[in-house]
Amino acid sequence: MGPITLDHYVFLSAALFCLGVAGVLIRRNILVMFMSLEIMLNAVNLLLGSIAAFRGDAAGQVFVFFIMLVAAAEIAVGLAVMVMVYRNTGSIDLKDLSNLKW
Amino acid sequence: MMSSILFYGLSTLLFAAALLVILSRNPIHSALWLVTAFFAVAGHYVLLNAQFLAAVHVIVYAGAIMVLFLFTIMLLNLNKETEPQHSLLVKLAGLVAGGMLLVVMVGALRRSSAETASDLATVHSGTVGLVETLGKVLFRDFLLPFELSSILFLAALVGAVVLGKKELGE
Amino acid sequence: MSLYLILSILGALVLLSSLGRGKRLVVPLAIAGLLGALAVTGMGLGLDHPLLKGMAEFDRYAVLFSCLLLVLGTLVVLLLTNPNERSDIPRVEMAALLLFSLTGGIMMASFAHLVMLFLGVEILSIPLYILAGARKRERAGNEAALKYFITGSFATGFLLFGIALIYGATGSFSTRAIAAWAEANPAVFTPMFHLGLLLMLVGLAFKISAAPFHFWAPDVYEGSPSIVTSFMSTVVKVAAIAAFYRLFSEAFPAAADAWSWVIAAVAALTLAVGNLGALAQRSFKRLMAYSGISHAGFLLLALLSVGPGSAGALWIYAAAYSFATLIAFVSLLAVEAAGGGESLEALSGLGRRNPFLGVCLTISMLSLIGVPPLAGFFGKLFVFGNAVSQRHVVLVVFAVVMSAVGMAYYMRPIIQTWLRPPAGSPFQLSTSQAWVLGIATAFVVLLAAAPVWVMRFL
Repeated sequence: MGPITLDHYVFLSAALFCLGVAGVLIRRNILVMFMSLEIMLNAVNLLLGSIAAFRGDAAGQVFVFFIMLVAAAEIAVGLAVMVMVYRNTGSIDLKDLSNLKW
Repeated sequence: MMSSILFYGLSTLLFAAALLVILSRNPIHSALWLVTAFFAVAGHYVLLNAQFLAAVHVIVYAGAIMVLFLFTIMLLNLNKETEPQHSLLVKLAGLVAGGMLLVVMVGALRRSSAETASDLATVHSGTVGLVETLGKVLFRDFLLPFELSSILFLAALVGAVVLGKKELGE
Repeated sequence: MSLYLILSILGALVLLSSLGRGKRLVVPLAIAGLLGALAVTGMGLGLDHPLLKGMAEFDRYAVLFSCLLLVLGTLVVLLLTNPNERSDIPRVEMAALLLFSLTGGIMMASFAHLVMLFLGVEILSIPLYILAGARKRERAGNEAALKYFITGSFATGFLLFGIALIYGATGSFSTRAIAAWAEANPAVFTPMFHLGLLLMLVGLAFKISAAPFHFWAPDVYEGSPSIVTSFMSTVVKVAAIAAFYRLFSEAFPAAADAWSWVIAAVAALTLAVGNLGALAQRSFKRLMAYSGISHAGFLLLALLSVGPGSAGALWIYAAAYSFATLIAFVSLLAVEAAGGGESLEALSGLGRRNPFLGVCLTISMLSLIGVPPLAGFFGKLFVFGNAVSQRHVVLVVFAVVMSAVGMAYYMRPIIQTWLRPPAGSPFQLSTSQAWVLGIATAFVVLLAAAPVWVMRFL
């Protein structure tokens, strides 16, 4: 095992990001899709955090705070939308929402 | 050497947990694996000598976002495993899309950061992740976006309330 | 700075006005505030501020696009006074959310730092995720909100990963520093930089609904209340294309070789999908959604020919498109209020039911086709002219062919309006609708006089 470089983190985040993308595409449960979106954002956070650490530049880590902030606001709205959908249809399965074609 | 072992250990944990999030049939299991993944990410931040980031990450993700997820699951009683599946074709297409993205990324990014390549050990002596540094950057360079982000919160707050509240007729 | 302050304070004031008996004052208050903001922007009062340093820049481009966004926003807010708009979200909250969203749009037109771009995109989108579901008890509205939320967040993920990679390659988030880096490193292929570029392009292509990332647009446009759709297809589209152009002309001009062919391919595909898709539509609302997709393709052509005059062409095209689209949606709202549906047949005999509306709708459709001397013609003229001068001849020929296809479907509402028997009795427009129609039509007709001035200004 050689020393850990920035490359390692880049690959790790890329893999995590792709996992999130695949999750959004293959799952139909809206909650799990939201979780996959969170995984995508975490991949970005990890990448920014590690680049900032390796470059010795704090701006990247400050950017991560903004992403966290947006993620929190976004998920609050997303879950509110989901609760509204559930009240109307009694389901959070995309198939029951029918016209949603991907 | 120690940091290499930690890196590979945390990465394996992170990847496995993320994989289980998208593969678990039961949303509660997904949520619990997501918490695991969040903690693995926090571990990575500590490894990168970004302790403050790690703390905020745990508070925001494991504290706020996960609680929101679990509340929703409990509130709507969604812990059923009866999710009908996509057709195999769609699943395969999703996996292929994700996999291709990964191949393209790894292929493109190979040895990309050669010019910044330094060992993780050198990162440990840096002061980037300290609260003092971050605070200075946040409140000097990033003050405008920091203030403007309050609009985002206000909008999300209003939105969550108007969408979540029951109508008079219901 | 003053613009951000006015808009955010205005949003908060509008929210506060729901306390007590202020509810009637909401729309007048919002309109007054928006007109004030427009005046401040037009005169350039306090737009610059030390706080903006390195984060945002109100150059001429930003000022011109902010004005356009403010005018469009004012017109949409004016439509809120309509008593018969069906929505489960109270008018106060709707107005506030529209104002917040508009603030995000202005951030996208004036950013100089990628964090402002990202925050702008989010502040623009999050209120709209909510407004898309404003008819809470309708299934189509629920679907629209959910679909918009998931695709929007998905796109944000791509945009962010792109930003992270660009940061990794260049070490900065500031557009100026990125441009300087790209100039200093003219290598054919820098993996991190170019992959980041591509991912940012994908993220923004989702936002302007360019093919192959357009699939959400027709369903979301159809499911949302028409008033929200009118905001999405004008303000959101203009803000997104303004950010797109600003990013690529300020941060990545040196890497143009790498992205111009991608944009060309996306533009061609978008033109084909938008125009051919529109031919098959039976609903006027969906037709306008596909029309929005096809115009995203024309707008991308302006992006392709970054250079002197291209920003002006983009502005004229965006203004022409959005005012004409706004007219179409006001017609839709009026017809809905008069008991008609969203289908094309609901428009039949509109010219006899309400001649003023019929004339305005006809002008709007003719402008969208690009008939001289309306604004749409000048938009197409300048965009095509710039693209030809940058040697994208094949693409321009394709775009001209697609404009001809456009004629086929834009003629259908006109035919319904004038040549079919009336679908109902004559009806009156509400005051606000008449005003919005008048103002937007005036812009579509009078913008023909503006091109020279805009070109000189930008």
